[in-house]
Amino acid sequence: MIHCTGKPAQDCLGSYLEGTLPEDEALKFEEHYFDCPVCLAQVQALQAVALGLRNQPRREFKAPIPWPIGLAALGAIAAMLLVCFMSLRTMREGQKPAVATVPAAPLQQASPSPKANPPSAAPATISQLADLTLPAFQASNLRGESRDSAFEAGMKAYASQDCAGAVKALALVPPEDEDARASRFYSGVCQMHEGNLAGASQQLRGIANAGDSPQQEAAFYYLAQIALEGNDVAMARRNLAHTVQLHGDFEARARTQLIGMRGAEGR
Amino acid sequence: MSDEPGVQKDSLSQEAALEKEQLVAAIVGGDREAERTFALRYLGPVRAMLVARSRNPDLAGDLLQDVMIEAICALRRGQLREPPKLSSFVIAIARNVLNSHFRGEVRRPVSLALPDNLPDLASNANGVEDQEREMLALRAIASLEPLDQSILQMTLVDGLKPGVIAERLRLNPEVVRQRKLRATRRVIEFVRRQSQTDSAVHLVAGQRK
Repeated sequence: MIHCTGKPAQDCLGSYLEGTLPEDEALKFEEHYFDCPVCLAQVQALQAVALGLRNQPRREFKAPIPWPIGLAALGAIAAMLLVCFMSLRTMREGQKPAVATVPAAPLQQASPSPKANPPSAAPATISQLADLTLPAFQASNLRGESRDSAFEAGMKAYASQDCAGAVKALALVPPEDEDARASRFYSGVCQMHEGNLAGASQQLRGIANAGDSPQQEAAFYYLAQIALEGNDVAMARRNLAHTVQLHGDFEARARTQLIGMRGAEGR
Repeated sequence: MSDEPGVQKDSLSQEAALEKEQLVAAIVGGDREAERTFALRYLGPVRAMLVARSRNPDLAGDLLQDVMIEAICALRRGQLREPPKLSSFVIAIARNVLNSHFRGEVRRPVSLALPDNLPDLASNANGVEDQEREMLALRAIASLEPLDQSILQMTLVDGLKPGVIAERLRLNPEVVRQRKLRATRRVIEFVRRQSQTDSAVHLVAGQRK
């Protein structure tokens, strides 16, 4: 049982502690964790959390604004901003008629944009929506040496915004390590931050396609940002939709961006 | 060579079975140190099981002592025919104790000469470890968003189903289900990351390393 990766606990711990796991499966799981320290530790961890929550004061939650209303409100704000922007531009254009007679700068005509034919005919403002900031990482406060020194070193570099150092260190985390997925994710966002969008996209796509994980939602979100940066509207929309579907921390941001994209496309 | 991991696994389970056989034989032979080893080995999983099944940590603490004493008595009497099935044997005793409690049966007091060095079962033998786990759990809870905290609280403490939680929080049940799943994984991941002690070290046939 020492080789157990904790999969049995991942599969049935929640329903076991809720008491909804069928009796025969509960018994099987008990027989497993009685001899498996990895799964037992997970059971005890969640029981400790349950105990901690038992002693926590109850929070009163105000009912959240239903999403259609929120969406409508955000849409209205976006529309107002758009109207303001358009009227400002019209005013500026009306103020400088003489400039129109000046011939266009020869450089603009001579050198085509390096981004030849973006996947969709989206305006350049789409790329301005891209959020390429690094997601926060809470460095663990470990006692003594860590098992995954490469991961720890990488995340220390990441925390100090040393993206190149982080990518280098995270590449050393073995693929079978339990932190391998997290290291690929942070390596991906570092590459994104550094401007290596192709490399970042490859790393993040792997995370997003690997199924449910703590990093899956963030991977979709940052894939969308990479697509936005490259003016690939369809891809950005698809990844943002995946982000919204997962209903996690990035849901609100993804929804706002979808609205922003609609506004930018309308221009 | 292709079946090397399988061979390794087999040898590990053989080793574990052998350890159990030796432990049971020692208890039958009246070795009090073996009883202490047995108690240390099974204290954690039995308590986890009792908490999970009773959803009441205080009751689990009370019944833990009964289970361990009953298991040691049975082992002394040589009631376990297949020592490699020691874990299943302990689980069965724990279930019986719990069922008897819920049926309101009065259990006969056990007159048993317990060894002096048996872990103090009534007053939490793994106190320090539990305190550390509790502190980690509180930090794990603090790392969650307030909404996720409430969802976990309603799930793990109140035993509510996602549909009911969704109704109370005026959310979509699917949103509650996904948030619950993710929050559960996050807290486990948090505790795993923060506790430097490799969980595999905690219990290997009852030996603390």
